[in-house]
Amino acid sequence: MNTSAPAPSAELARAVVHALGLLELVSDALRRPRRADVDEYAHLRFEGLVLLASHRGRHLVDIADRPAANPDRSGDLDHLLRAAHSQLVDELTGLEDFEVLEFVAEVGAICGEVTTHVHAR
Amino acid sequence: MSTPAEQLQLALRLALRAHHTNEADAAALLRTWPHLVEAAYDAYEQFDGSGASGPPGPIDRITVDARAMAALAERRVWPARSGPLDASLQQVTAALQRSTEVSHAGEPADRNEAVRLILSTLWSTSQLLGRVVRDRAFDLRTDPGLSELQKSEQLPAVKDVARRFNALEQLAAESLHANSGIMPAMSPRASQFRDAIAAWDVQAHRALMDDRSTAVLHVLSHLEAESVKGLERFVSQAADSGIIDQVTADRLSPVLSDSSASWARLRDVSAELSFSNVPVPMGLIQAGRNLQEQFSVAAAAADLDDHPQLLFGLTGHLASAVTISAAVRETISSGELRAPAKAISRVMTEHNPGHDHTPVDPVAIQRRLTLPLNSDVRQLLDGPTLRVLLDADEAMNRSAGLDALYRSTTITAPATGAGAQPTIERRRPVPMSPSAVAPPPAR
Repeated sequence: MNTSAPAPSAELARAVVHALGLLELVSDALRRPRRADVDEYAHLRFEGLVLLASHRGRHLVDIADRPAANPDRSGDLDHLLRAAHSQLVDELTGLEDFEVLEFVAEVGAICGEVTTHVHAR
Repeated sequence: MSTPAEQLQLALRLALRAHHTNEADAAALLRTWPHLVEAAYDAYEQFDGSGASGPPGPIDRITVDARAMAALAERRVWPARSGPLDASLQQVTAALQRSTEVSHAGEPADRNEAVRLILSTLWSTSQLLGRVVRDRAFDLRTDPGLSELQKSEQLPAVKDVARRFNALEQLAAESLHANSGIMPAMSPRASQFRDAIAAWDVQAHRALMDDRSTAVLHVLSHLEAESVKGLERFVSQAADSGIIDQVTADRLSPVLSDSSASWARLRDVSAELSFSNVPVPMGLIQAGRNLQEQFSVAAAAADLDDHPQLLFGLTGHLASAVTISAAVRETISSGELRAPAKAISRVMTEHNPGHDHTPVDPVAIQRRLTLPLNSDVRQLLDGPTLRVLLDADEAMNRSAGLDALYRSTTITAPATGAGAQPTIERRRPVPMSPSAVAPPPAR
């Protein structure tokens, strides 16, 4: 059975680093006080997802060599995240280690919910 | 013209992109799911050299569950059969179908890569469905468009579906993990173990679909109760031989014990509605016995390199217990489960001793017909089947902790002394190039 998973490309690594920078922005926004009408359980679940994706992303790229993330803070976070997710998807062959797919799926899930949990503050 | 492999890659990309593009309509996603799985199965068949004669794999298991869902679509509580389909999943389905259409024109693609791409697509879409349906379970409580009665009817069905997709996601994920580059190649013994689990999963779903009778339910729940007992012994042996740590085993064992007891309770309740002379598929019985045998020998005879595969197989078995119990619940709640008229009459008389007439048509009893269970009898099965599902779901969730504990393939031979410390596999990072400093250019 084929068990080989080719190493992800340098372009994919760049896209991971870029997405990590944006996840830091999401994390920063989540530290601000939230509105009372945002469901607490759903909010905690989302925070957990962001944390998990951030850790997994750091695991995928070599943390020691990772440059400080400097994402464009002027744009709309929803739009930036969606663009970053599309970039990640475009760079995939689908045959990378499963962890890479998990990271990309988690960023996609964060895209879907960032409006509720970040902008509803 | 693009190649089949390119179409499969496109399907995966569309599936991943659907996480941020779809309309998050849980009902539409669920209606589209069986079409997507059938397209995935057709694509899989194009590449699968062994065909129907080979042992079933994860795609077979996901397909048989989707077919079980589709078979009851007419009568299920939620979602309604008629309604819109999800556009993002339809795109994925179309890409999978195109991979089948172009498969004879292009270069022959690598079978394992194709299976990996198809399974990744199913994993990604099942994950999306699980998330959206789970959110629907929360939103449903405050949906102003539904009456309280509709909410109370739909909520259990929505929760069942969410648990089922969580299990399907786990099933696909464990197969993708098990076949990823960081795992050791599968030995014949580990392969046999996983094949036995897959065969049981497929046979149980098929038996339920082909013969929706209390006789099948009785045999199935009996074999599941025994299998989970075998699994409990496996975990205990695995802890003794160092495959899993004692803390994880202690955490998993009580819920496995509960799960076995709840299957046994369902076996006993369904036995009251079943006659022993009704035949059940031999394939189901053989698959159940084979699974028990594999559990009894696997932990004792496994090599060190087999450990990770055994653990992934274990998670996969618990996932199948969730999908099987969800299929049982759906079969019962849809009113499709049948029992001998005489058995229904006897049970109803026992539970309503004040009635002086038979609650079932005497002609049906005389002619030895089977009838669909009425709501009174369905209620008798409702509690045990819910318990079975909840316990299986809990066991599967607890077993997720096993995945991170797999041992390195570079570990030295097992030392029996207390000082033997296994090393944990270090995953390799994505190689970074100097140009990785800058963010990716906008496209």
